[in-house]
Formats: sequence, C-alpha cells, structure tokens
Amino acid sequence: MKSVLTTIACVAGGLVAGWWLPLPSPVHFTGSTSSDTMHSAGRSRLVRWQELCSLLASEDELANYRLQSATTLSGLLGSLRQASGFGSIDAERLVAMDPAAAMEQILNDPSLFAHAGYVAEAWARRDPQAAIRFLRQKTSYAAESCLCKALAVAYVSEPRLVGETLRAKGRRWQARNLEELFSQSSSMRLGPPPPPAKETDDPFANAGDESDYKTVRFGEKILDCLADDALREQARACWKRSDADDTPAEPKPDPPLDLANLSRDRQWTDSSWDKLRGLWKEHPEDTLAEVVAKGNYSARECLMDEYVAAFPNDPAKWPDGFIQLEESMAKLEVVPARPPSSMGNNCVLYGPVAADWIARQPLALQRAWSPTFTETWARGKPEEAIQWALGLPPGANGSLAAQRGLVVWAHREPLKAAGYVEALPPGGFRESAISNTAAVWWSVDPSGAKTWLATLPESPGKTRALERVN
Amino acid sequence: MTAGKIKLLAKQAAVFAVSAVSVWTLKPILRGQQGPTGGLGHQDPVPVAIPEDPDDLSQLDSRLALADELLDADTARFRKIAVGMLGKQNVEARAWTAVFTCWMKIAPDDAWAFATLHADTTYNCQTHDSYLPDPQREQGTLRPLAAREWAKLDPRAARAVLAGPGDPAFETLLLASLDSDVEYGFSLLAEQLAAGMPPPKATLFDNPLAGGFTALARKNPQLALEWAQRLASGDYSAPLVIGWADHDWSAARLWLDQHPERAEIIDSVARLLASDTGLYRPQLFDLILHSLPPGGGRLELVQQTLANLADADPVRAVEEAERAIADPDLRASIMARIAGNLAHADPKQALEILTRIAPGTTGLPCPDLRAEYIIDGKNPVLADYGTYILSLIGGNSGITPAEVMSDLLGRLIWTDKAQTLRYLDRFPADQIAIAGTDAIDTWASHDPLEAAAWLAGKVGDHGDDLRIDHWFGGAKLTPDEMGTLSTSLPGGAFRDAFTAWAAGEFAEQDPAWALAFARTNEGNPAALTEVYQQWAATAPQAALEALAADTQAPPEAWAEVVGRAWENTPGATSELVESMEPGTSRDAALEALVVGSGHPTPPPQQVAWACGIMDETKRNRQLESLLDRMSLDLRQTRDATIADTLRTVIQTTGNMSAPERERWLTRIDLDFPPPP
Repeated sequence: MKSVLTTIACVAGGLVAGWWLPLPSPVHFTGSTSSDTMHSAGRSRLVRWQELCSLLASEDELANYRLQSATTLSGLLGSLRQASGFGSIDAERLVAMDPAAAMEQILNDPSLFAHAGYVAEAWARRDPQAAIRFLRQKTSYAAESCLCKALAVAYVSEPRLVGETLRAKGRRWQARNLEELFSQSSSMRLGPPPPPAKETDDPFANAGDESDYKTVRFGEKILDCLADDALREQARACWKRSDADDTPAEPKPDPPLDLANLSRDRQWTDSSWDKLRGLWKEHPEDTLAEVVAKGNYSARECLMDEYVAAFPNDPAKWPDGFIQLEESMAKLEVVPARPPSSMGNNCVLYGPVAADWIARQPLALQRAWSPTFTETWARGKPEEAIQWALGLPPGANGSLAAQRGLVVWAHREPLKAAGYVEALPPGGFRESAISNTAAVWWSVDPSGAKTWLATLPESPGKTRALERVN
Repeated sequence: MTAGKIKLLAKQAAVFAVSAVSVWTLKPILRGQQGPTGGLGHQDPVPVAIPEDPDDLSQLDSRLALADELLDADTARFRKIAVGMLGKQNVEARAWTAVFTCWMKIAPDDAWAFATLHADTTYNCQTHDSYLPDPQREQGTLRPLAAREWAKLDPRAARAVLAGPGDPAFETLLLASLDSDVEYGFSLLAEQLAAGMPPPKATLFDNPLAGGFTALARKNPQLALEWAQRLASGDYSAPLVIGWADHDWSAARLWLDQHPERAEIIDSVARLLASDTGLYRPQLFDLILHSLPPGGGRLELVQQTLANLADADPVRAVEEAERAIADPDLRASIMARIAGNLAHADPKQALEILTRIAPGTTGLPCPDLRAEYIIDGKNPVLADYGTYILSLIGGNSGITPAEVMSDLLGRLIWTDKAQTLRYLDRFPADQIAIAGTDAIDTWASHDPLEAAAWLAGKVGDHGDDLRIDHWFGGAKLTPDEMGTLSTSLPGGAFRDAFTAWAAGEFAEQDPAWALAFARTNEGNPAALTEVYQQWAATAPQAALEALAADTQAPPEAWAEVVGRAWENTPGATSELVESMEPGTSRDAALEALVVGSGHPTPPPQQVAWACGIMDETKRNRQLESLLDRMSLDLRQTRDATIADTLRTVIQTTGNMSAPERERWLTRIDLDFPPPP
C-alpha cells in the first residue's frame, strides 16, 4: 500500500513538475534553431514536419500561410517580403497591432514600400487623425504618397482635417497630387450606426443594402482649400472625368460590314475586322466567296492572314498546309506578307521542303518571306540556309535573307561564321558580311571580335565594322 | 542505504521523471497548441483543423494538417488516412508521396500491402516526376510510388517484394535506388539488362540515369566508366565527369582531354551545370569558361549557371564571378543579372553587388545588330531587326548595370532620397539618363526645380535617352514656372530637351505662346517640331497653315504635321505639299504623304509623290516600300493599266538618273509580269 501511495505521489509530483517546466522556444521555419533549447527529438520532428510541408505545399502557399498566421508586428512584416498575397485584410491586422511602428518600418524599407498604400488606408480608416498627424511629420516621398492615400480615406469622416492638411501643403504639393485625390470617391453609410453584427460566415451579411450608402466624392467640401482657381478648375475636371467613367457608355450602333471599303489603317478601332474574322470562322466557304467577290485589298488581306494563322506547326502536316495556302492565295489574289508564325518564333517554317515550296511561289512571296525564313532555318543549319538565300532570283531579297542568316550564325558560333565569311569571294556581299559578323560577335565576345577584325586586310566592310563596334 | 532502498528510490525517481517528461511533452497539446506548427514562423500558431480523413487536399490547411497527422500516425491511422484518400477525386501525387514517405518509415510491409491491394488506384500527377517511367507520368498508380518511397529507405527490402524486371514498379525502384544506394541501383540496372530489357529511356532534357552516374563516379569512377561504356547508346560522359571531378579532378581532366568528343562533353557539362545548381563546382565552371567556343551559346550558359547559383547563394555567385571571369564587361553583365534577380527581395544586397562593379562599366556592348546588306551594288543599308535578333535584344534588356541600378534607385528614392542622390552622383554623364531614370522620374515629379538644375549640370552635352516628358510630366508645372525654369538653366543638351518638351506641353492650349517660347531658346528646332507635332494632334489644319507660313520651321515639323492634316483634308493637304518649293521640307512632307496616305489613295499617285522626293536615298526607300506593298496584291500586279501608269510615272520623273530609272523599270517588269 505504501509503495502504491509513493508511486502515486511520484507520478503526481512528476506531472506537476512537468507542467511547470519551461516549453521550448518557438522555432522558425527557415534559419538556424537554438540547439540548447530544443529537444533533439522535437527538433527532428519539426524538421520532418517542415519537409512534409515543403512536399505538400508550394513556396508561395507557405509564404502566404506564414503571413496570414503571423500574430506579431515583426512576424507580419518579416513575412511580407516573401508573400505575394498581402492585401487590405493583412493591413487591417497590421494597424491593429501598432500602426505607427508598422508605418515607420515600411517607410524606411524599400522592399516593404510596395505595401505602404494599404497600410496607410487601413490606418486612416481606423484612426484618421493619428494617421494624418504621423504622415504629415514625415518628409520622404513614400510618406507623401501614403498621406495621399490616407487623406482620400479620411475625407469621409474628417473633411475639415483633410482640408487643413491640403491648405498647409501648398500649391506645388496640391498640383502634384490633385489628380489622384480628386478622382477618388468613397461610400458613406447613411443614418444611425448599424445594429451589432450577427455572427455569420457571410462577410456581406451585416453590410446592409445599397440604399444605406451614398457615394461621397473627394473634395466637394474643401474646394476652397486649394491654392488658386486653376487648381479648382482642374479638380472639377477630375470629377467630370470620374462621372463620365462611371456613366455607362451608350452602345454604338454596329456598322454594317462594308467589304469594299475596309481600311487596314483603322484596324484597331474598327469592329469590322472582328466581324469579318468571326464570319469566316463560322462560315469559311461563304465568307471567302463573299470577300473574293466584293472585298477590297484590305478585306482580302485580312482573310489571307487567317489562312496563314491556320497553317500547322507540325512539319508532317506542312504539305497539306501548303496546298491550302496556294488555294486561298489563288482565290483571294493576295500574297501573305508574313510567313506562318507561332509564339516566340516568328516563322514556323524551315528546311529544304519549305524552301522548295517558297521558291515556286510568286516573287513577292519570296521577297516577303525569305529573310525571316532564312533566319529561322539558320538557327539549325546556317550554311544550308545562307546558301539557299543566295540562290534566290533577283528581287527576292536573297542578299538580305543571307545576311540575316549570317547574323544568327555569328551570334551562336562566331568562329565558324567568321571562317565562312573569310572564304567568301570579294564583293559587296562579303563586305556586308564582315560588318555584320563583327557587330554581332562584338555583342557576345568584344575582345574576340576586335582580334578577328585586326587580322583582316583593310576593306570597306572592315571600316564599317570598326565604326559599328567602337 | 541498502541496495534495495536505492533500487526503490531509483524506481520512484524514474516514475517521477517519466511523468514529468510526459506532461511536458503533452503540455502544448493540453493547452490547445497543436504540435510544431509554430515552426512555420509565427509565435502564436493559428490552430488548423485536423481532418478525420483528408477531405479536401486542394486546401492548404488540409495539407498542413495532413503533414501534422502523418508524423504521429501509427499504422492503423495510416491505413485510415489512405483509405480516406482512396475515395477522393484528383488526389495529387504529392499527397500520396507524403503518406508513403512516413508510412514506409514505421511499417513498410503494411504500406506495401496497401499499395499492392490498391495497385490500380490512380492519382493526379501534376508535377513532372523523373522517377516515374514515361507512361506513369500522366496518370500515376500507387504501387510504383510506394516502391519509390521504400527504395529511398531500404532498396533491398523493396526489391525483395518485386517479382523482377518485368514488374511495372521495378524501374521506379531502380531509379530511386540510385539516390539511396547508387551501387545497388546499378546492380538493379544490371538485372534489368540481363533480363533483356532496355535501360531507362533518356531524352535530351530528361536523363534519369544521369544523377546515378554522377553519384557513382563520386564513389567509384572506374565502375562508372565501365557502365558508361556498357551503355554506349546513352550519353553519360558529362554526368560522369561531374562526379569524377569530386573524386579526383586531375584524373577526370586527363580522361576528358584525351576523349575524342571532348568538346561535346564539355558542352553537356555546361548544360547540366546551368540547369542544376547542386552540381556547381569551381573547377568545372573554369573548364567551361576556358573551353567553350565564344558565342551566344557560351554566354547564355555562363550567365545561366551563375544566375541559378545566385538564386541559392548570391554572395557565392558574385564571388565566383569575380574570381573566374576576367572580362570586365561580361563580369559586370553577370553581376547585374544577379543583382536584378535580387532587386525585389533584397534591394540592399542588390545595391551592394552593383557597387562592386567599377563605375562606368557598361556590361557587354549592345551594338546595332541590324543586318547590313547591299541592293543593286549601291551603298549598304541596315534592314529592320530580324525576329531572332529582336528576341536576343529583348532577352538581354534590363540586365545592364545601369538598368538594374535604375530599378533599385527607383525604389530607394521613395524612402531615402539623400542616399539615392549619392548613388546617382557616381554615374558618368552618358549613363545617368539610364541608370537614374526611375529615380529621376520620382524626384522630378516632387522637386522639379532641384532635379532640373542637377540634371542640367550633370548631363552636359549627353542628350541621348533624356526622357523629359516622362520625368517632368508629373510635376504639373505652369507655363510661367516652365519658362522661369528653362531660362535659369545653363545651356546644353538638357536645356534643349526641356525647352522642347515644355513648348510642346502648351502647344494645344496656346500654340502662339508655345511657338514663341520654343524660339526663345536660340530657335531650338526640336522645340519647334514638338510644338507643331502636339498642335497637329488636335488642330491639324491650323498647324499646317501656320507651318506653311513659317519660313523658319524645321523640315522635321512637316513630317509630323502632314500625315495628321491629310487624314482630315487629303485634297488640300496634298495640293499644298505639291506646291512647295523643292528642298528638305518638301521632301519631308512628301515622305509623310507617302507613308500616311495609304488606302484608298491610288498606288500610282503614291508612287508619283515618292518620285518627287529629291533626296535619292529617301526616294528609293519610299519606292521600295511602296512596290513591296503593291506587289502583294495580285489583282494590281495583273492589271496592265496600273503597270503602264507606273512605268509612265517613272519615265517622266525628272529627279532620277538613268541607272536609277532603269532599276525601277526593271522592278516593275518583275512585279507586274505580262499575262502568260
């Protein structure tokens, strides 16, 4: 019995002692841990848990989680740098802790400044007088920007304070910030304060309906605080613009599609283009026939662009694509101004099969396509591409295409490109090749390019090259 | 004290200690603080709800709670969690990996039994997973995933439960074993080959055996060499050299130098280093720097390698750049790129890196990369940039020291103007407009007089890249303020640019004042052009009339006004231009007509305007462009009347020499061929 009691006493004593033993210090997810305060098993568990978290969540998710769960000012500000999801709710939390300290840190840290606006607005909502008083004392540009944000928010509840602040800042300050301030408007609740909020998950449940609010635009009560009439006029112009922005635009009547008078020059403002493209997507054959019969050059060119855009990227499907292009060119009587392209690559075509097809097309197509086509081909087979370009007929931009291929080659492999250039026969092409190779080589290896140029005999191309690289 | 008493006391002390430790361990839980969640970096963790089963693993809270659960789960709990996951849609690979990672540690047989029982269960494989053979990457199944996690802990035990190389999980086991026990991993590869099955499939960008070769070469290079020879169809020389470099760099270097494919291997080593920071070794980087042939490929690999290293350890990356790269321009470009990547997260460190670059160092040069070519044996011309070259220029922008500095100072000036101005002062006159542009933008908006005075003294005659409208537009200066400021500035590139901008700003409001103001600055032609340009934007006819009466207007002003005026009154505008005296102003006006008229002006009319240009180079440029455009419309090129009209225009033009006329007539013959 005695030993049982002793055991119970030991257990109880142990429990009490254990309860009062200090807990390990909190450990941060990244950075070193304090080994003397951390139980090794606990630390190992923590490391394993962190590893699992890294496996189960992205860095972004963890950074935002840290931000949302931080409960101290330093914790919250510390996690701001990594997190991408900082918003007005976090700003409200920040100013609930210590707004002056938070603002002080943010105004002095360029990596936190991007969040300053939210914090200034949150503080001005919570305590406009304190926020404005604090920000008025500061002289940095960041503080000025924050003061603007705070004034815009504070105007609803403290128009007199806002007016005094504006007046004190003077004309230059007012002119600089007028547009931002006088374009603002806020919602103000009408009538008595709302009854205590009911507990609910719906964030808008206690917000009342639209009729409980009126829109207050910035500055109506403090116009006389502006330094002169010119500024007051500008302020009114800001209101006018805001009103115009808020008023839904009258829908414009949709003009009929006039295929004979489409103008390529107005393509960005004319809905006719979208309409024509839409028609073609829905009824390709009928639209094609209509455009062929009635369309001017711009209309035919627009449709041709659609056929080029539909050209397949996959080389195995190119033969069918070429047939389709030839048919549409024949019907529309338009040569496409640009070869088929895809994202990040302005010509999907390359290689001898495409080269043979291009060489069979009208001279205008060869001229329009050959430079870009040669450039793309030269990324893989520069010599083949340049050789093909040099064999193009007069008027097909062969010389330019070959130089473009050489530029690509000289960027990737300047030594090989330089060897090719040195072996070229004398003449204008060789001289331009020297100039282009040296200029491109210089951009990736300045000393190598200059050394190469020094080995060449004097020539017009070398002279021009030296002008380009010096 | 007897031995029995000592024993009893020891027993009681043990009970006391166990109780104390137990309650100490449980204290956070008893207090309602769950586990180690404080480890995410906050002192007062927000409790997360631990789900009975992982209900919605798309939610972060559920996944963090799952992590917490898994650490303390016993095998029954693991089974319960796993069964819960079986019933869910779209459970991702990472969740199953977490479960098996933990479960295998305490009860591998149990975990394996579960995976085998539910072998057909699929999961959503969103992330690329090089351990999984190709067919399983899109839609994985549990068994290979469990085998992988087991192999990381005990590959031999995992092997024991598989039938052999024919088992779908065998290759996964093999690849994971290369990480945990590389020599055993290769013995599994031998087993797979002996069974007549091919080695794991490798592609250019995805070589699952590469890491194994590196690890094996670190331990046993001879064995790695033997394997490389045995798997001759794959390219394993580069990972082998990387691992061997750790074991014995001299021997690896000797082998590499004697290899017939030395250049290709070094290229592959460079690509591996550029893609995996963990492989970085100074001796390998030096090898790449001194062995790769010059060119864009080398440049990109060198920059990429150090930029990736900087993501993990910026200080080391900068030190490596300073140690290894002798070319000051290349070194500056790389350090700028490292600083640029740090600019958002740690602007102070980024600034510190930039200040290690000698002032005035511009980084790699950016010359005019347009292709030069010759048409018809005439003087060479520069064509538009090619698409590839444009991508290079675009890809390199924003990484010169000056551009990165601009970004950093643009942030710093908001919080510390004095320090920003000290940095700005370090830059030479010809770089200030780039290095300071973002900071000057903010400075000039807030303190325009101070900024203008400083800039006028700083830039001297370097007028390139001055962005006056961008910098001073936000200051909202009045005309009087602009006038006072302009006259107070010393003469030079800045005052000229400022006056031009200020005059243009008020052209719409008060064109007469603006023209007078533009003329105050020694007839600054840029200022006059700016006024006419801005005026024409809102009142093109008035601007055109004033221009016609202005005998001192610069030719550039015509180029700006005619296009706008033609849009409103095409007939009157072209009549006025055609009636002008020949000279540079008329040339500029005609060029503007050709470029601006477009549809529906008849092409022969445009060609006639182009032919009227006196300057041969400009005339040919416009004719070239017009005929290029016309030749795309096959209806026009097949119209013999149009061709005849064009020939007549060319033949009757008085400006052209005989060879030039011949050139354009030949061109018309080529583009307007007679019908077959």
